[in-house]
Amino acid sequence: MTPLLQVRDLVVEFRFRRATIRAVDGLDLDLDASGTLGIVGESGSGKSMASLAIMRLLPQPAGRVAQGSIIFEGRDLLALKASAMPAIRGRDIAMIFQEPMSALNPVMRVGDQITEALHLHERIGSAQAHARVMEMLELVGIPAPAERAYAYSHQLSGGMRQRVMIAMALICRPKLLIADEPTTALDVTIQSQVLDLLKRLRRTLGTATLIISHDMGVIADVAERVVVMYGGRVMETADRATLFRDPRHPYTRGLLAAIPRLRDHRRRLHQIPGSVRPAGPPRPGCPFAPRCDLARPVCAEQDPPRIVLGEGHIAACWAVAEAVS
Amino acid sequence: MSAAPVLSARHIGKDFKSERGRVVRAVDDVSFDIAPGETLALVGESGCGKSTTGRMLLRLIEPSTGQIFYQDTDITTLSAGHMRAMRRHMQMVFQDPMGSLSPRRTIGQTLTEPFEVHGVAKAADCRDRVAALLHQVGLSPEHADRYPREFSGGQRQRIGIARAIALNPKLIVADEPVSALDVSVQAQIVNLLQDLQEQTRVSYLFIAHDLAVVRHIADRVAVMYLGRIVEIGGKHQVYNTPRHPYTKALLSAVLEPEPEHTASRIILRGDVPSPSAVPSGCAFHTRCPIAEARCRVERPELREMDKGQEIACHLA
Amino acid sequence: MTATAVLLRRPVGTLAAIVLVLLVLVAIFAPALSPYDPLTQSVMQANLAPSAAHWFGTDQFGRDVFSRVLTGTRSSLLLGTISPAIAAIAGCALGILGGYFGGVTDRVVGRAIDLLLCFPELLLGILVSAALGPGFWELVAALGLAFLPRFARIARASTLSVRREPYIEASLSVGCRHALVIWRHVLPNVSGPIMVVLTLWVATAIRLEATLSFLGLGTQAPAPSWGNIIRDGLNNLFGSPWPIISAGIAISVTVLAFNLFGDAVRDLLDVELDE
Repeated sequence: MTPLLQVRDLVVEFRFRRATIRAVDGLDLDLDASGTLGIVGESGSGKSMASLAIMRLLPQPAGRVAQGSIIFEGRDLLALKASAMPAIRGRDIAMIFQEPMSALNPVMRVGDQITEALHLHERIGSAQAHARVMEMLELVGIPAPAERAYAYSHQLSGGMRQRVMIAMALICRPKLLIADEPTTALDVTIQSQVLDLLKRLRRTLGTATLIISHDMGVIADVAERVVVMYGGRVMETADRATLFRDPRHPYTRGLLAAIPRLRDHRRRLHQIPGSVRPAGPPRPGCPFAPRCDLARPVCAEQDPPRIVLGEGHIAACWAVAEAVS
Repeated sequence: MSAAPVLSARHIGKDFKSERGRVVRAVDDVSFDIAPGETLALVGESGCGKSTTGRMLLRLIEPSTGQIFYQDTDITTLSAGHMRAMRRHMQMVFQDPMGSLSPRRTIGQTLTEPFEVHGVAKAADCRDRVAALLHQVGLSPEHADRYPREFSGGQRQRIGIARAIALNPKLIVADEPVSALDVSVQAQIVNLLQDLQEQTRVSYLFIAHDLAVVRHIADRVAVMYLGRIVEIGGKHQVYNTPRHPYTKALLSAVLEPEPEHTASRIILRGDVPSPSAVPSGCAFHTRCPIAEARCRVERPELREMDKGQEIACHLA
Repeated sequence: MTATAVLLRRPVGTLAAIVLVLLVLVAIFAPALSPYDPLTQSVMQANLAPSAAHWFGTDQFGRDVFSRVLTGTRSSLLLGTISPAIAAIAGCALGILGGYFGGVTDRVVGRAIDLLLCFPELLLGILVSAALGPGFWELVAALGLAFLPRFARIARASTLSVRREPYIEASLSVGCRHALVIWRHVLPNVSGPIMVVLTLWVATAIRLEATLSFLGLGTQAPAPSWGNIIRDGLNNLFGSPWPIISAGIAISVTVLAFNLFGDAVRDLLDVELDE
C-alpha cells in the first residue's frame, strides 16, 4: 500500500535580509491512510512549520521550502502550482489550530462558516448542505446542533469552538487532518473530551491524522507512530509503544525523565541543562549536543547518522551509533 | 500541622462587577492554612478562581469578604502603606516570564527594586546582593547588565524567582510558574523551587493546572471548582484516595506519556459553566457523573472525611 | 545605532531637525540678526520691493519685512512650543491617572476629554481668547486647553496597554508605590507616542497662532508675528505682496519641518520597538 503522505528530506527556511533561518532540516514523515502520526517537539523544534509546509501555507514572503518533497497520494505537492492548492486544502487536507477563537470569523454564524467550507469544494444544494452540516455537528458532539449552528463563535465555549473547527475541517471528508496543538488552549477535562472525539472520528471516518503537540501525554494518547523533533531535526522515530517504553535517543530519554508522573516518588526530577536553542542559520552537527549528557566532539561537528534500531525505529545520534556497533 | 501557620485565609471571597453591572462571584468562601516550609497547591481549570485567590493573599486584588492572617496580623485591615511594607514577607512568581520583567530595565535594575523600595540595602550593597541572588537561582553576576530579551524563557523565570526571594519572604505565591515554559526546562524550575524551599523554609502557594507537576511539588492540595474549594487534603490523600468526583475526573484526565494508560478515563460531559452563571446547589452537578436531585438544590459544605482531608460533596 | 547612522538613514528628518535648530537660533538672536528695528516706521520707504537694503522689501508703513519676519519667529515658536508643551504635560497627567487607576477617575477623565474634543481647536481658541481678551499669553492658554484632550487620549490609551503588563503587577507585588510604578514603568512607555504627537501639534499650533493673530486674537500690533504680518499685508495687498509672501513661506517651512521631524521621530521609535 502506498502511503497517503510521504515527506522526504524536507527543509524549510526563512530568508531575512540579514540571515537565513532553517526551521526544519531534513524531515521525513510517512503516514498511511487512516493512520495517526504524532510530531512532538518543544518551541523552535519546527513541528508547526512542517505542517504549514505540507499545507503550503508558510508565512510569506520569508518562508519557503528549500529542499525535499511532499508526496500526497502520489503527487508532489511542492511541484503543484500555487493556484492548485486551494482545491486541495479543505477537500483533501484539512487543518485545525490551537486557538479556535482566532480561526473562526467572529461576525459569521458558525453554521454558515461550515456551510461555506462545504460549498467551496462541492456543488451541493442548500437543503442538502444544511443536512450535511447538521449531521457533522452532531457527529462532533455538539448538543442541540440546530440551535448552535446559529451561534457566533464568541457565544461558544472553548471546547465547543474546537468542536466547530473540527466539524468545519471534516465537512468535506478530507483524507488527511492536520491538528496543530488542538488541545493546548483547553482545560484538562475539555482536552479529554476533544482527544476522545478525535480518536472516535478517526475510527468512524477513517481520516488519517497528523497531530502536532508539545505534550508527550497528548501524543501518547492519540498517535500510533511518533516523530520526536528538536531544533528542526528529527531525533527519533518509532511506534508509540516502542518510543515510550524503549526510547533510545538521549533527548527523548531526557525529556521523558523530566516529565513528572502521577505515580512516581522521585524526590528530584531529572533535568536537562540549558535552554532550548531558538531556530537559527543552518549548522552542522546535532542541535541537542550542547545540552546532551552523552555529547562527544563529533556531535557538534557532523550530522549524526540515522541508526535503524528496529522495525520503523530510527534514532539520529552518534552515541546510539556507537552503542549499536 | 504542628507549627503555627504562616498564612491563613478565612472565608475569603471576591465579587467582580461585570460590564453590565452584574456581580460575578469569582471566589466564594475559601479558607486554608499554609504552614512554614509547606507547599499548598491550588489546582483547577480556568475560571475556577485560583489565580484570584493567590492575588488576594497579597492584596494585589482586594478581597470582598473574609480575612487573611499573616502570622497573627489580619492583613485585610492594613492601610495601603502598611500592606506595602508587609509585601516584604509575601512575594509572587508569575506565569509569564517575559511579561513580568520590564523590557526597558536591566536585570540588575529589576532585582534592585525590592531592596530599594523597602530601604533594606544601600546602593553600594545592591550590586553584591544582586550578584548573590543571580548565583542562587543558577545565573551568573554578569547577567545583571543585560535586558530580559537576551534571555530564554527558563532564564527569565529564574530572574522572576530571584526577584521574589530577594527579601527572604516567608511565603511565595507561584502562579503557574512553569506552564509557559518548554517541557525540557520545566523540570529545572521545579527543582529550583524545591531547592530554595529546602534552603530557606519558604512556604509556597503553588497555583497550577498540571496535576502531575503538583503531585511532585506539593505537600497539600486544594482543588477548586467555580470559585470554591471542593476538596483539600494531604498530597497522598488527594492523589491516592480522591473522594470528590471532580478530583477523580481531573486525575483521570491527566495524560501521561505511557501508551497503556488510557484505559479507564472518566470523561466529564459538558463545559465548565461561566463564573457569571454558577449552577445552583453543588456547582459541579451539571457535569457530575453521580449527581442526584439534592445536588441541584442544596450546596454541600466542606466536611472532614479523613484526618486532614475535607471534601464538599453530598454523596462521597 | 550611532548618531551618524541615524542621520544617514533619515536624511529628511535630519534636514528637518537642522531647519528647526536654525529657527530656534533665529528666534533667540532675532534682535541681533535684524538689520532694522521691526517697529520703526518710515513713510518714505513704504511698499518697497526686495532689494539689497531690504531683502524682503517693506510694508505700507515702511517697516523692514525681513526684520519683522525674524522677530515674528519668536512669538510663533514660543507659542508653538509652549502651548503644546503645557497640553502635553497636563494631558499626560490626566490620561495616565485615568488609564492607570480606571474606575471613577477614568470615567471623569474620559468625559472631560470627550467634552473638550467636541470643539475644534480654532473655535476653542477663539472662545477662550474672547473670554480672556486677546493677547499672547491668553492665546497660549487657549491653545493649551484645546490641545490637552489629544494628549490625554493618547496617554490614556498607552497607559491602558502598559497597565495590563504583568511587570506592573510584579512591581506592585514587590512593594512599589503607585507613584513609583507610574514614574518608572508607565511614563517611559507613554512618552514615546507623546513625543511624536507633540511635534505634530507644534506644527498645528504655529498654524493656529498665525490664524488667530490674523483674526486679531493673538499677538497684538505693532509687535510682529507671522499671523499679523499676513493680516497687515492683506490690507495692503496691492501696495506690496511681499509681507504676505515672506511670512507665508516662513509658516510653511516651519510647519513642514515640524511635521517631517515628527515622522522621523515616529520611525525611530518604531525601529527601537522592533529591536
